[in-house]
Amino acid sequence: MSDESYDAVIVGGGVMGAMVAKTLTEAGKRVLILEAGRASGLSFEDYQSYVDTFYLANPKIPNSPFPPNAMAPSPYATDIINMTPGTPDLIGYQVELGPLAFGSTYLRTLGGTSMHWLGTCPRMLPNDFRLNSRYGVGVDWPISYDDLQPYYCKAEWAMGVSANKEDQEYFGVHFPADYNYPMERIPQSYSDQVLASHVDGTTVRFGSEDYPVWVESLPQARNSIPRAGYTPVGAVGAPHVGLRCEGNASCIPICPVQARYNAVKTLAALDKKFVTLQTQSVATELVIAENGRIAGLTYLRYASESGPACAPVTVKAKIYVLAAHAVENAKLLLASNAANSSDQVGRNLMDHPFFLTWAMAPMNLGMFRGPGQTSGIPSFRDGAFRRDFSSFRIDLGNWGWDVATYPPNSNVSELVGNNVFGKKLRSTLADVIPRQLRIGYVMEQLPEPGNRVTISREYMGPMGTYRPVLSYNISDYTRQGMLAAMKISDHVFHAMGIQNDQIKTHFDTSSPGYMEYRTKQGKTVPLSFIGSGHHMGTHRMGVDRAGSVVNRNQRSWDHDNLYVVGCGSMPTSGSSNPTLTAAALSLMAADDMLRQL
Amino acid sequence: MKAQIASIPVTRAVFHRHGAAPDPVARFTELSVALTGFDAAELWGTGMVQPYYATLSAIVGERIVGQLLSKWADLVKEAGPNSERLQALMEEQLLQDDLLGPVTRNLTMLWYLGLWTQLPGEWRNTHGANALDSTRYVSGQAYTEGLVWTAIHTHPQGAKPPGFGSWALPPVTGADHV
Repeated sequence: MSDESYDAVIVGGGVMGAMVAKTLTEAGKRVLILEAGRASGLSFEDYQSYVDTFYLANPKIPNSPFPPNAMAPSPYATDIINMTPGTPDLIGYQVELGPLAFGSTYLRTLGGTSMHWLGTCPRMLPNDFRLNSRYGVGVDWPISYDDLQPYYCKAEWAMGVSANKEDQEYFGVHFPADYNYPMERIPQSYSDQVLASHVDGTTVRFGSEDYPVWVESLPQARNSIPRAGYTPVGAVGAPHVGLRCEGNASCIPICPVQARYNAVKTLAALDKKFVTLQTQSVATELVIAENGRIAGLTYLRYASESGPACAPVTVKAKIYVLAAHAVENAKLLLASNAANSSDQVGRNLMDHPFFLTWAMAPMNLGMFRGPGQTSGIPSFRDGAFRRDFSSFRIDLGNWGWDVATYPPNSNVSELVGNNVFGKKLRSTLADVIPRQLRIGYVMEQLPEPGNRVTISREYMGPMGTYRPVLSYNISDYTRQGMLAAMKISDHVFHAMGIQNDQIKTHFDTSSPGYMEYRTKQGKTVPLSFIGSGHHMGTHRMGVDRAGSVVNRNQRSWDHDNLYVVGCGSMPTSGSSNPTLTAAALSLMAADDMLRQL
Repeated sequence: MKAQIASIPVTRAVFHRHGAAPDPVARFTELSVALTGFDAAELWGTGMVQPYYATLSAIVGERIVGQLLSKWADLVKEAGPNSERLQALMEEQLLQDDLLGPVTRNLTMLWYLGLWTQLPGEWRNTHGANALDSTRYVSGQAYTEGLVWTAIHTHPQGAKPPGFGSWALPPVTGADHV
């Protein structure tokens, strides 16, 4: 199977691998993609089987349409528990050492986690790239917004992002004069419109500054009305399905019509002359030559998920690209003792802790319609407060209290449990659920060396591979940001005419990610968070080999022909959902690969 | 008998033979109408009447289903044309009943969510645990036909999509149906 005719071998068939493969194959380079998981979604019928699995799944967690794969396991939300101090959580694939459980999961299958992502695609802000020099916290990136700007444009067209650029020109974000997103913005939900009518034009004071509050549409990788020069991409194997978002209201866990982008769309469109796509192939080790270059990549292939694996195969190529996910990339580098002269591999693990508040609105908001989020409040994504506490992006949910209380099932079981039945049951549900207002705060988290992915012989997975071992905490910088978020929350709820007794936010030790914050005044405030699925920072880029794993082009400082791409390359998290930024970085890396080849 | 039942919204389909007692599925439908607040046409429209009757029978057994339906028939008879009286009797004698209460609540949740919920431990200890009595969606169709979505004037998440941009329009409310 060893074949030196490949220009590049890419580990991972998700968004990042797809972006690199697209660039390389369009330049006529020969590429092998190794995907650890199944060949999910390459045909429309196969994809529909995941929709059927979703219908039956209980609970309907993000990974629920995708049955567990014993040979390439993924973490599942049901495996994540609140930790007992000093006791590792060994449930499932991911080992958690704490002190807090890392609340996020990902998916190892063709298409990766893009099979169940929401598709929210905001750009990062210029100040996010210079957090340290601007606000004295975190680190600066080795590139600026302007460096990445052209690749943002490319990524938005490659993935099919719907937005109007004039909506997104805030906090210094700018676009070329002749550029616009490939599709018009996704219509903002009715509840977004009601919120905007109440909060637009109000202000919130932090320190000595008044921050204007406004509701803005979110860029989303889902099909809308195309602009000139763009043709929406439909479902894989059924190109006339999913040319517009149809309002299935189930982006996570699965878009039944594939109107929401997934990486299989890009992979399936690659020129077969130049690409070989091989699934069920788990990369286990990079072979390092004496001159420091990568000489091969070893992987294990399995025909059946009940085993056994074939003998290890080592494949050779001119360059090697790890695009397997922030956690899996770090695992593979650590297992290979590669790219780690900085001792930064696996460190600086970040997520966007997702902080929630919820209330019962006095008016019908028409909940449970449309994509999960169509608008946000960008007001607190940047500002002088970032010296003191984290920035955050505010998401306005369209699915009632969703991850806060799991409606409508929770409402039905509570009412029925109280012996409510018949017309009263029907009318109570009709009254209550459409008024459920849930606000989410996508909190910035700073890079910290102790938040990390490691591996250990103590925690082994199938076929002699490693399980990821995670250590994680949330610093006071982010916890204090959550207090600020609560202040905003009260402001928004009050502006909506919601009385305090209708604000239902409540955290106790049974809340997911329960933790406390001790204020400077000595008050203890209960907090809670869930994961956003935004694993970042584990192979960060930087200006020198001492403090980073890869350079500005995602190339390893230690190995000339090794690239490590994805959200793991991001030095800081900002408040932007990271897939778009990582896709832009991957396209930038791919250009550098072409210069090498 | 016919006049007594006429006070609750059932269709003629309930009486499949002149003068004969309703068959179990017809009685099951009547009970389901009273528990869900949806009329018989709406319930039959889901395609789930017979599957749910079969599910209930398989999990709690035909004997308990028989007790449930005859209890229901007794309450209907006792209430006469007074629908408020029937509601009160259902609360007192069905939902408060140690044997039938949990089964009745489960049937209501099954209709609303398509989800069978494992019966309480005490019930399982007293009346026997059935291997099928686990918390699960009984079928994909059961999920997509959950009445809760209709009750809240929307569609099941992941099915029956209302179309591009529909979410930007004002929501439908109960008043729109009158």
